Amino acid sequence: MDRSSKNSGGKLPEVRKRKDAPAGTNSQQTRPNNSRANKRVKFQDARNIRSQPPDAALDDGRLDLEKFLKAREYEIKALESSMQKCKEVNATRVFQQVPRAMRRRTASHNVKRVPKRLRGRARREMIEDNTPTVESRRRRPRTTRARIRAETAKRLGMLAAKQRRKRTEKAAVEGKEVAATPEVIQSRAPRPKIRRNVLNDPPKTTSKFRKRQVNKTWLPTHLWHSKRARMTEPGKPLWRFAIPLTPTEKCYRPTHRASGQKGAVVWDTSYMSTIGLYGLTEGAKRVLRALGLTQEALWGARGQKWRAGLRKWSGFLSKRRKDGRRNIGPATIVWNPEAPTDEGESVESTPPTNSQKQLLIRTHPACFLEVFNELLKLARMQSPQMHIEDLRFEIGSIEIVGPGSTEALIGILKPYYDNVEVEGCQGRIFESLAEVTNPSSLPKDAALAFSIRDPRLSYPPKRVAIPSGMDQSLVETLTNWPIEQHLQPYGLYDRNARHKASQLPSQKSINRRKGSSLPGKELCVTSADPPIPIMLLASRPEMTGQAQGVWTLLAPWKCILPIWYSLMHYPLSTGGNPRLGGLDEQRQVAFEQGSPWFPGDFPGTDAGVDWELRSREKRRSAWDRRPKGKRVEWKSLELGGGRKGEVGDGLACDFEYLFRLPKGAESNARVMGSSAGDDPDSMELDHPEEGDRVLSSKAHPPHPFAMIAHITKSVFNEFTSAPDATTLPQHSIVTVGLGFVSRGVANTCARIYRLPTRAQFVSEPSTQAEVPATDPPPPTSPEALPYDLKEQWLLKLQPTSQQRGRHPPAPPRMPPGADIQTRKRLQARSISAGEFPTGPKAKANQTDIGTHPLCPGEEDLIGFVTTGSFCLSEGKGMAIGSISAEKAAESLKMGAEEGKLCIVRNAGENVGWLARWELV
Amino acid sequence: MSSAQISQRQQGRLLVNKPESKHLPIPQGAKLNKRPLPNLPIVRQSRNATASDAPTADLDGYQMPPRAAHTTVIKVTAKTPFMAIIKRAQKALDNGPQKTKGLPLTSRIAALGVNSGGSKDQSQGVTTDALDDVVLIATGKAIQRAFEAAFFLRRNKELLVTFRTRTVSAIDDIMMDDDEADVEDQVRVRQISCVEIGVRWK
Repeated sequence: MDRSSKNSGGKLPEVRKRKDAPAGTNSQQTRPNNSRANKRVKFQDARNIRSQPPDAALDDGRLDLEKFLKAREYEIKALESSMQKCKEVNATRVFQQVPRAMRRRTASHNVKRVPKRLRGRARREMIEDNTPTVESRRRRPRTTRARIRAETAKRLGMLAAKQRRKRTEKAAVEGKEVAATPEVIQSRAPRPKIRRNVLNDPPKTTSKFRKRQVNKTWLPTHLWHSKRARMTEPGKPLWRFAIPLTPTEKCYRPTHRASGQKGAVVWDTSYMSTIGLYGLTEGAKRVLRALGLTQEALWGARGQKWRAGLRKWSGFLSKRRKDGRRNIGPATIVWNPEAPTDEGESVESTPPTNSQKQLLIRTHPACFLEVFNELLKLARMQSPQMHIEDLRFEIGSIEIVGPGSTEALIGILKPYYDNVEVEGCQGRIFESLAEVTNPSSLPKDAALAFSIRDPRLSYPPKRVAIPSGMDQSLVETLTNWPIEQHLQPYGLYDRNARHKASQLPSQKSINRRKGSSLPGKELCVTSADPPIPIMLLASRPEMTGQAQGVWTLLAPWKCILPIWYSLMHYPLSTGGNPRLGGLDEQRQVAFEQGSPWFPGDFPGTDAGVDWELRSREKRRSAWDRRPKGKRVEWKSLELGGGRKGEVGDGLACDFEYLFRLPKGAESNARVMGSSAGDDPDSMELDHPEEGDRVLSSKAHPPHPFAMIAHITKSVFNEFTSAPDATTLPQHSIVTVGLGFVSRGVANTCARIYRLPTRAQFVSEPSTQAEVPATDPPPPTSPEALPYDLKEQWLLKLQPTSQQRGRHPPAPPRMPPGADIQTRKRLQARSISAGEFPTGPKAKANQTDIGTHPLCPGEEDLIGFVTTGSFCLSEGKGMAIGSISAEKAAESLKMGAEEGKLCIVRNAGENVGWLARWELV
Repeated sequence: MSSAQISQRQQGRLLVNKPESKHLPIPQGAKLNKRPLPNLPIVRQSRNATASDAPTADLDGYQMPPRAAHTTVIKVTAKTPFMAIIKRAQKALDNGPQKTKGLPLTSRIAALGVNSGGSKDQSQGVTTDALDDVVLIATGKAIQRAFEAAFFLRRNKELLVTFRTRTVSAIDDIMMDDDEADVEDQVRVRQISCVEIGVRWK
């Protein structure tokens, strides 16, 4: 028995969004009609719900339980499948069925953009409902420029055809055969020029893409990224690169999961700059000391492994200025190990000879030019002179974080040499780390360097076998870290090795080799496959704990792309592939680990100043675009206690206001003039001078913001431990992490106050015997804040973890049904006990803001939040900010516990929240 | 460690958890940094593990049983909320292959009947194959929390919960707190107790 369901016919097949296709060609005439008929059948079929007659369950008039149950099961299934089918047949189009990760293709009306398996259906659907399709190549030119281009192309084509015809005619006349293929001249690939002590050119790109890279450089993976991520705007590159900002897919929470719990997140960080430093050991030492590597530990026994090339060093570089040192930015430095000599192979026995050394200094592009100029100056001062090389476009890098990161890297990086004698045992040791789920388990600052095979030889990557975790060998490897054996100089430092690695065989030839070998079999290494020298750096997060560390993979610029393809397709053992990350994700991961992000969280460095001024402009233009009624009016913000107006500029981390610096003129709003070739973004490629240009801050009058200096944690700690011996530089700030005590979420530009410290309001000797604590006397002037403001804030600390579950005691209420006498008595008693407010009620926002304590005054402002939001790893609001070092040290004198309490108030809001700051 | 020592350990004369000599105290001015445990898998579905993987023995001589392809490993820490463990375990159990899921109705009923009839050897005897649907792993302070969760799950009569104890090596760095101090960092191995709780459908 068939019944058609009544409730599913919501939408008739005739109701269509688009007009019918015009009855044009033959095929179009027949096909739509046919398909419409097909569709009707399909609809009818989908809406039918099959059911079974009730007597099927009867067995000679008795109910057969099993048959009955089976019949009902069948019916339920039929109902469900019909519902599903109706849904499918009704509304969905192929574009909507594409998986989430491929959604970039959904909005397209180009059939070629859906996956191949769905292409046929998509084409059919588009013909059926008459979607207008245009091939962009064949589109009629709209603009004048496009029309001229099209006409020129047409004319050029005609010319070429004419010439071709002439040539064949001429050949026919002369009786010569036209050569089928032109002669191929074998030529050596040119080695890219790396000039000493000068900035180098970006790699030559194909002419097709050259025009788009005039004032920026593409990352090696640009084409891949530009399809999957939002890039910097074409006219506004970041640090002279087109950098992926964030994937087009929504990914905030997936990134949080992949970076901490399950999976991996990968970034192409080839925009990070590398500088090579060459010269004698002593000279290198002096240069590095002058760059701020002054800790004695680095140059003694403790830094021995670093100097031997077995560890990396990461930290802040600084430069000397007239008024003390100024921080530049973070950098990583790795030495190249020396070739073993005959007499002593082990690192310990080599005497500290003054031999030639090579170092790599990897730094952020925002501070690259500053580091480069400083290095150049220092290198020239040495005798004999040292020299530096700009290896920005020679060495690219990939960063990967997450529990699956080690596994994914092991899956694609296969050591080239099996023999340990050739290149040391680092490749083998790396391969034994498959179990490691966090690079922080490795020794601190571990560095590994070896050569790998072309990852395309074993593409698609296969999942690596992960040992069971019972073996003690891993623990032994991690504790002993025996990478010194057969140590050789690293290939990455060798220009020839890098160049050879850039000469990878073409994808075409790899495909040909694959075609001739058995399917699924890995290709063998031949003489055509050069070894790719790589270096792996494992870094731990700033905060100790179980947070995930980061792997940094350095490889020749041209080898990044094949490695990237393999990495993105590696099947993780936890399922899925590594995720793609952009700049926003990098900031997110850093924030969730509680570490500051350069340059955004370091407003005391030149790069950070530039970043802050840029983001001010961005905020201002966003604010300007909003209608007047919907944007914060800074002047009318009521802070309570009679104060009105935002403290400083509401759209800025207004350190100028904090330090009472003169306001910068609007004309030089940017420290580094936006037009001149001074800031790192507009670095000229064809520099006439030898890179010894001075920084713009000297050429132009500096922005007052540039007078603020960042100091590191260790400098600050030194100062607080011995305030008499050391002095802080003027206008110095220190970066802190903020955690809210209870509630609260901070945004960028939020104000940080310390606990109120000013001379407390002295109440004149009153006639009253005692002043009730809950009811302070109203302030005498509108400017005065409640005298017990600090206590009010400290009360917020009260609910400790044991009491958190309890509610505060409910205010006393009149017992129901009490007669008027009882009521009067109770009222009188409660008044005398002070339960109800006695005096006249204070004006709103005078002594508190909706029972919330008032914010401290301007004199207690100590800093600003640079990054802040709800933190998924902590489950509450967190922030990173910068506070005045002087005031921080002052408030620390109150006690380590109380001195670190602060109040954070968002710009444009009048309620502050209690937080604790911690140096990072 | 020599093979003689290992054999001694296996004979029970020496215990890993009770080493013959204690670690020296941490030198003045140094601090201990605990590295993340290297060989404890975080949420990992070991799809590539098969029964043919030759299991290697622990220091104690304990061999980890092979895991089923669908096993979900949940790492329990001291801060993991109790209900979160239960929910994750329950979800993995519900989504994992249940033994009677694809069977026809009659055999499902039959299978249920067998279980309710009570085959005592299955519920009481020590299981050897340990093809668990869910494995909870906890070390140190978190062991109590894992047990709480396990006993909660055991209230479900259809679930079989097994307990296994292990010893896991943890690595500590001893670093000088002062950057200027010119003393090389030391590394130490510390043994910590660990419990694996297997949960599966009966």
